[in-house]
Amino acid sequence: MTEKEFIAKIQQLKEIKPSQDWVVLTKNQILGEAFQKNFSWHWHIFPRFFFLKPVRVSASIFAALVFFGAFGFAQNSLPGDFLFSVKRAGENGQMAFVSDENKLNAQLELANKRLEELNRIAKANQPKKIATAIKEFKASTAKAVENLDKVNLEENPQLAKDIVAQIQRIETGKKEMATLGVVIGDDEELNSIDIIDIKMTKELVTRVINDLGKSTLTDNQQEILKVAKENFEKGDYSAALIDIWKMTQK
Amino acid sequence: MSNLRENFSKIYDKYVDKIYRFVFVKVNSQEIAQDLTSETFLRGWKSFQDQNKKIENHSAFLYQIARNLVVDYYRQKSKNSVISTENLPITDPRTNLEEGAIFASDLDVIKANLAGLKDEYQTVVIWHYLDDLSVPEIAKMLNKSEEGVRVILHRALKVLRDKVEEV
Repeated sequence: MTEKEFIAKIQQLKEIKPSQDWVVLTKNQILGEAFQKNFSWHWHIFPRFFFLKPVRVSASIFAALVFFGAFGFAQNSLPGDFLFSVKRAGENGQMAFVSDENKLNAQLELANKRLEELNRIAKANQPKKIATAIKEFKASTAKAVENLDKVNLEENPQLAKDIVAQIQRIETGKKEMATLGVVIGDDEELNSIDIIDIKMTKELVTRVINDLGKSTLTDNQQEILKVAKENFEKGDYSAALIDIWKMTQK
Repeated sequence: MSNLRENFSKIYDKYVDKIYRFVFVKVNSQEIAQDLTSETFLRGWKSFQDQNKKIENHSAFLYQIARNLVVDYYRQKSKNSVISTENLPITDPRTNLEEGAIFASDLDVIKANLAGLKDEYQTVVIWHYLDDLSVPEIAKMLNKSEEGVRVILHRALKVLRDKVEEV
């Protein structure tokens, strides 16, 4: 056996991993102490009231306490876990406070989170959860598409940049999943991310063509811009973008 | 406080697998590795909350705690390390049974002999080949020169290989 082969054998020990359940439980035990301490002051107040007169905690308050207690522990749950629905409910609740304009970006952030969870599930070798995790990811991207029209990218170029970054993260994440043997969606079907991508490209090309129309261009550049506009009219935004890139090379 | 908690949560997620593996290879027991790893992060969290302590390198800090805990563990127990070749749960990506059996056996031999190396040799092998730490990083953590670490790595590999090939 060569040294290289021997090192490769040693590196197979990278497969040694703790059980995911233990990882989550331990984290909650360690960090959950802080969570419990943050709420311990409440108990100084409640007992006084309990002694003054009988207090019946209503079912709705009790349910709220249980929910918020569970919410803390649900943060590390994965699709397929018992507490995942609590986590998702919490995320939906938070989304209600996001402005319409920022909803697309926020939904894409959640989609990335779902993809990270899918990655963890695949690496932890939990095949039973993979289908659920893929379903959750697709649902999150579909929700992002619903918010596509609420964004005015022309007035908010930074937001456009953030959204493009999110899409790139998703595409990178999907490629990584493919290397782990997890394929998300049919290659031929136009998925939600493609829809967002097309819209983003269209917005970007519109803005660039408008800006270039106001600039001084050489004859050659004007020719290329004409072709770019034709491709844009045909709906081939990627081709239009490539034409614009060619212009910058001249 | 919630910021601190969130930050430490990310540190935990980033290093828990590595710290567990580091401890597991040294103690060769899932239960003990779990205990020592959770103690490592508990102590790490307590230090992290101490605003007066500025931890510059979280990875090095956690590894140091883990190393000290392993040393304490062996001080309390007699080091009659029965080198066990029991099958312990390892995620095995291969599905072929025969290949799987051979794979598990090879891995157990390497694991057992790695656990039998002296502490310094174990540590550099784990850090460099399993945790992908560079020689300069290891040198800093062990407070040694880079050349010194390379020598230790070379010797560790030789000893390990000799032991494995004896089997």
